[in-house]
Amino acid sequence: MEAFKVIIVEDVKLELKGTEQIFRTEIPEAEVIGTAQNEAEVWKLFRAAEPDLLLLDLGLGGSTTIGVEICRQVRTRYPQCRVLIFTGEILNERLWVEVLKAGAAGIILKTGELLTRDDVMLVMKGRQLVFNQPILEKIVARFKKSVISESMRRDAIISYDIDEYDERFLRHLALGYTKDMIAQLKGMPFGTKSLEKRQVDLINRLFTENERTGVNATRLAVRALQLHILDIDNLKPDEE
Amino acid sequence: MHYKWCFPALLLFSLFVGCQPYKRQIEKEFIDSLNRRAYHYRYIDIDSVEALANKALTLSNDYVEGRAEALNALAFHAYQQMDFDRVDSILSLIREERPGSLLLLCADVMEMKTCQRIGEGERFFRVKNHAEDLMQEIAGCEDRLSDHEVPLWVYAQSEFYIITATYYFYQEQDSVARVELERVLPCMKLYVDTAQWVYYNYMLGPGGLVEGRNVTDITLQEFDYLFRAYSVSRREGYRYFEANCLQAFATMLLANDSLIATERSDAYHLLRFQHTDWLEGEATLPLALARHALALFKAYDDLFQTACTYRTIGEIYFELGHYEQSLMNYESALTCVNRHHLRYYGDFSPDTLSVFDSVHLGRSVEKEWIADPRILTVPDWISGIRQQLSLTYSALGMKQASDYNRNSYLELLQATNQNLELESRTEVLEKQTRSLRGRMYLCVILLAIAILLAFLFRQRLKHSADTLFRELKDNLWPPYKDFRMWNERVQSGLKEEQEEQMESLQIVQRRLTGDKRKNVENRAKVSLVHGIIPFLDRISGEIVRMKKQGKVEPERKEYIIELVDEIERHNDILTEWITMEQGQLNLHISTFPIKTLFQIVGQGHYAFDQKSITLNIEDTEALVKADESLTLFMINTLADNARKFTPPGGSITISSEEVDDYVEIKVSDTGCGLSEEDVNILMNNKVYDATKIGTGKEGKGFGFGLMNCRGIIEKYKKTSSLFACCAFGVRSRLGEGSTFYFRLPRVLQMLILFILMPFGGQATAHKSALYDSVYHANLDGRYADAVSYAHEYFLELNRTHPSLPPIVLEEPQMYQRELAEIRWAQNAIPEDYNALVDLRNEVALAALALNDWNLYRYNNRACVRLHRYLHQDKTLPIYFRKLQQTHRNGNILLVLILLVSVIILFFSYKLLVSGQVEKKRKIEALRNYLQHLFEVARQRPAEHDFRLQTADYPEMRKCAMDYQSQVVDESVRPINQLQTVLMQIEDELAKLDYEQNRLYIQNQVLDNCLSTIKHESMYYPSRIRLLAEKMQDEDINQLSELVQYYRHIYTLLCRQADTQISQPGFKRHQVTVGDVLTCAADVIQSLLKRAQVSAQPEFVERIGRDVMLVADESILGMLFESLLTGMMHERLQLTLLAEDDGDFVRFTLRDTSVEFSDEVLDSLFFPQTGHISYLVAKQILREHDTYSNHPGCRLVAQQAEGGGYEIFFTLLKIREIKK
Repeated sequence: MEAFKVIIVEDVKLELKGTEQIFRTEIPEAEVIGTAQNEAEVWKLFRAAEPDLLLLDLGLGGSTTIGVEICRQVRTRYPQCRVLIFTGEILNERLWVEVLKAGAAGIILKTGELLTRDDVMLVMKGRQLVFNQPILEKIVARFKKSVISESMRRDAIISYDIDEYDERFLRHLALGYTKDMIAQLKGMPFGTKSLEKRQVDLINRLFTENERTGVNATRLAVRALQLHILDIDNLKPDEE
Repeated sequence: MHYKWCFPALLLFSLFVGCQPYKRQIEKEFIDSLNRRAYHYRYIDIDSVEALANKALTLSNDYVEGRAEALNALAFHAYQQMDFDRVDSILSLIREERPGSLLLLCADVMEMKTCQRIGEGERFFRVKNHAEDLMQEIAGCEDRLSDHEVPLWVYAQSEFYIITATYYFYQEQDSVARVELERVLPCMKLYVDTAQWVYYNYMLGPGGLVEGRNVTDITLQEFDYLFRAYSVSRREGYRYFEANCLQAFATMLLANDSLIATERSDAYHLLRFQHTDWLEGEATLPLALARHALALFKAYDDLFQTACTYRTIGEIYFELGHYEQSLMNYESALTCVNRHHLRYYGDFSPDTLSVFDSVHLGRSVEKEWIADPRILTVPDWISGIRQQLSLTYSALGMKQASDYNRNSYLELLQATNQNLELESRTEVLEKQTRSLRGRMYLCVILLAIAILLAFLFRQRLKHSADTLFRELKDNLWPPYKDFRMWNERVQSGLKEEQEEQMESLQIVQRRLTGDKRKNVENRAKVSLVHGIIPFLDRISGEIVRMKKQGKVEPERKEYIIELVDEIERHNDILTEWITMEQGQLNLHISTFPIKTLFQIVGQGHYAFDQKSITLNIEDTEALVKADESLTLFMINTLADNARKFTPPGGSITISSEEVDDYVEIKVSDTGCGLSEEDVNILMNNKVYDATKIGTGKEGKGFGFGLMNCRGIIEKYKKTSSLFACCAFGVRSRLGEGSTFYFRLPRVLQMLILFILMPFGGQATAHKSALYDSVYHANLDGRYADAVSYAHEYFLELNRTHPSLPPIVLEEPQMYQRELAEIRWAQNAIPEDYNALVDLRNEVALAALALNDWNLYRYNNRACVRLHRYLHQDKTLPIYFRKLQQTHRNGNILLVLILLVSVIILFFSYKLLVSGQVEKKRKIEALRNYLQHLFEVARQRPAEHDFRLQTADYPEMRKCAMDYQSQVVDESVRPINQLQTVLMQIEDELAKLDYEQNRLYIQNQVLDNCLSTIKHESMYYPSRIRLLAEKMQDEDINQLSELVQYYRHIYTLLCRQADTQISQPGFKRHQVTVGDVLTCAADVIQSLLKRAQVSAQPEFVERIGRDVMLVADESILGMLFESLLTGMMHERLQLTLLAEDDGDFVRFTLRDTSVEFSDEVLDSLFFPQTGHISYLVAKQILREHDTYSNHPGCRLVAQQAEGGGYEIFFTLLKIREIKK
């Protein structure tokens, strides 16, 4: 691999030392052309020489999220320079999204194996979305959760025996329609009376025996949401 | 052949018939003389009284008066034998005989005597009233009394006054008793009854009923009276009085031996001479006198007095310091009591009194006696003995026995309060009746005049109708004025309330700000704690790389050591930070009932219902001293925990139990329970992984709840020794559910009465604290402390009322019978006298334990007297009922007369004044309507509800409408507005209160978390360092394990803190640039003043003051404070700059007078520099950054362009809301 230039932005000196050591021992082709401890120094270094890779910590000094802003500006002013985030912000997931939006090629959390040669190389090869193990675990966990909730919906429809009309009835209840209004919907073959019967029937299906007392339409709709029978992100009325 | 006898027989018969009246007269006289003799022997030989009376009784077949008199003598005999049931039955026999008023009076007097002795106050007064009526009746025909009746009359009167005086004397009402006694001598103007005269003198003797210049004077006077009684009774052979006098001498000489010996040496030496035989051995004169008295009483066969004399002897021994002997005598006294009891009631109540029953400590036989209506006993008798016993036991150092007797004593006192003081009320009643009669006459006269005046009235009516209407029109009508006054009062009241609420709002606000600041600081600490983790990860990273290489690389080793040092530096800062605050006591300790907390927990039963778990909350009256919010937090935590681990269908019980000095609050569940091992881990390990506890893993928390509870209890214990009894624990068995409990110091019920009656704010709080101290000091056995606390309490009390006679701990002059506190109570000074009674009791207890008899006597006496005074008047309702009855009877008459008058008046009306009446009626109607209007307005209706019909009064409509709109404008609307505002303030107050509480608890818990982190992880870094320093290749794994373990513990602990701070403390507000600058200016001014720097800060505004920002106003000040504190120095040249910075507004603090290197400025916000205030500032900015939902807030320290340095931060602008 060809040699490339790196700027490290890290406000804690001791950590900077460790990071530099990693570069020195494991990624010899990287030439560290400068290190910065605050925002002003970053721009000074950039004015002197443009690097191929910027290893960026998100918090600098008193400003705890300034990395996002630096990343955004680097990516607009120096589009050739790749930005890899190297951060200890393990809790603030919102920041990860922000920084990816700002154009970072990847995020390495300062835990586990820290920075490895492979991660840096992937970034230098132009790969996007480079993450180290700890952050990947978090991302996958999130992913799993959403997939499970998706499949739960399918399961729920089967296990609670929900047909198309049930689903539409519940969805419109959740949207605040009255039974009269639902009976007026296009393609709804039921009158108010039989909708009421259907509601009782649904309550019997969705609630266990000792939960049933006092359940009204609102509670029923909420239950449907809880059981993932309704998709809260897709709660729209039928097209008229 | 028998005829010769006929004549003489006939002659005898005729003689017999002819002599019959004469014979009866002789018989009557004989019976009278028997009765007289019986009367004479009353105080000489009681058995003779009985024999003579019985004889008189058998002889007096149809001589009613004679029978009654004999029965009276028998009643006296029964009375002296203390057979009170028999007294009652004899008295009812007398009444059945229907004798004349005089003997009825004698019976009444006898009954009064009995009532006085057995302590039935109410009956006493009832009989007394009856007796007074009889006395009045007899006094009216005094001159018609026969020679035999005169002595009886003298006896009845004098006995009546003596008994009444005795009664008042025992009720501590000396002045009244004195007045009653003064009436005795005038009764004897017709005839001098020697026995009664002796009785009178004896009463004045030891009673303290004599008035004099000083104590010596009083004592000598008393001695004289007593000596007079003594010598006469000795002369006349009145054994009873002789013994009584001797006993009184004994008591008197005990205290005043030398005084009497010098001032009344003749009498004194006579007494000594008379008792030479008794003065054998080492016996002192008082003892000899008392022993003589005892012998006399025994001979006279008076059980009551015998017991009293034993008591006196006991007291004498006590004074001499022979406690064992004194105890023996009290025991004999008690035996007399028991003998009396067994003699009359032994068949159904075999239990007797004992000096000390260690087996049945809680049981009080005398209380059972008093509660049993069949038993008539003399409570004063027993209570006196009990008090002495308690003293003696205390002197002997037997505390338990002493307490037992003292409790009995106090209980007896409680049971024998004076119930009634009907006497004065009877007078009032009489006066009432008289005035009623007077009023009736007046009515009749008035009626006559009224008819005469009817014509004149017509004129007046016309005039008055005109006046009334004018008055109405000109708003001069008194009800309207009243209404306006009411209105003003209500409005000003509401305004005042509003102000008060605003003040408490400010207080809560201030507290909230304080808690918020503390919260931010805690959050900064948590951030600091988190700051260590990257270093740990670095160490891990290095170790992983060394493991790969399989050998120790010196460069990496060195780096690891550097990292560990850094971690230690962090820890040091944290430690320093935490210890910096340890001096501050931040628990809010108060006394409160647990009940209210239970109720709050009970309101959340819905969550339990949802899981089909029954939540039982046991009622409790317990009071504890603790932090109320934290206690609620603990109960909630335990209840929530129990809910999590109890399967549906189970039940949870929250209860409390009062034990010794603490209250145990328990949360029991029917869940799966815990194994012994788990209990051990829960209670003993500071850190544990909750997922490893119990069987199932479902729904497990991290166990932080329990850790917090434990931490809070630890905190109590550290705060004060008062909380030494605090504890937290669990009783559990696998499969049988668990009970988690904690203990808090218990406060006794009576205390809260005192605390709940606040008058005087600070002083009251201080007093209640002192009272608590007295109580607790006694509880802990620090009696001397208790006395000194009580002394301080009195000082505090006297300070609040400087003009009144001071209440003192002890008075040297026991004879000054007027107690200061009673004077206070008489003057209706608002103080909590019940607490004072309790306090006196506590002091008496302490004195008892300290064997300080004078202090004990004074305080015990004060306690009893105040107690009696406070409980004097409980039968007011009975009195009123009586009063009403008389009233009603009078009223019916009055009403009848009035009715007739009205009818007459009506006719004169109709004829003379009907036209004017109509006019006036209309005005009256209007007035009524307006009255109604005011009435309704006084109910403070909502404005839209305030609608009244005016159609009924068409003629007066205009006037009515005017009034109506005035009422709305002046009263209804403004009051409504005020109420609305008040409600809003109250809601705001409740909200702030809630928030403050939440933050407060969060802070407490965070404090706990942080100190746990500090304690539990402190020593790992040094171990790692030690291991790393001498690390060989094969040690890598060991180091790796240690670091991994450290990291595990550390993250576990951090997670607890994280769960706390996940609830935001940040409040988003819209703040203008101007607000921020004002806030900054305030902070700068106060800091400059504090640092005594006379710099002139410069403000440069390059952005409009009205630009809106997202910020939490309450912590902005803290931000400036944190930043500026470090900037202060003498030559400060400060500029505050506000300017635009993209989406943000930048605030720059620039000091051009000092230079700093880049290095210093760069590291300003790192913990290493040790500037805690900068860490706080950083945390505040971080909060703003996180909760404004737009990352990018800056906080930078850098060199300023024109020299010097600057710190700037940015706050997010509020953008226009996108439509």
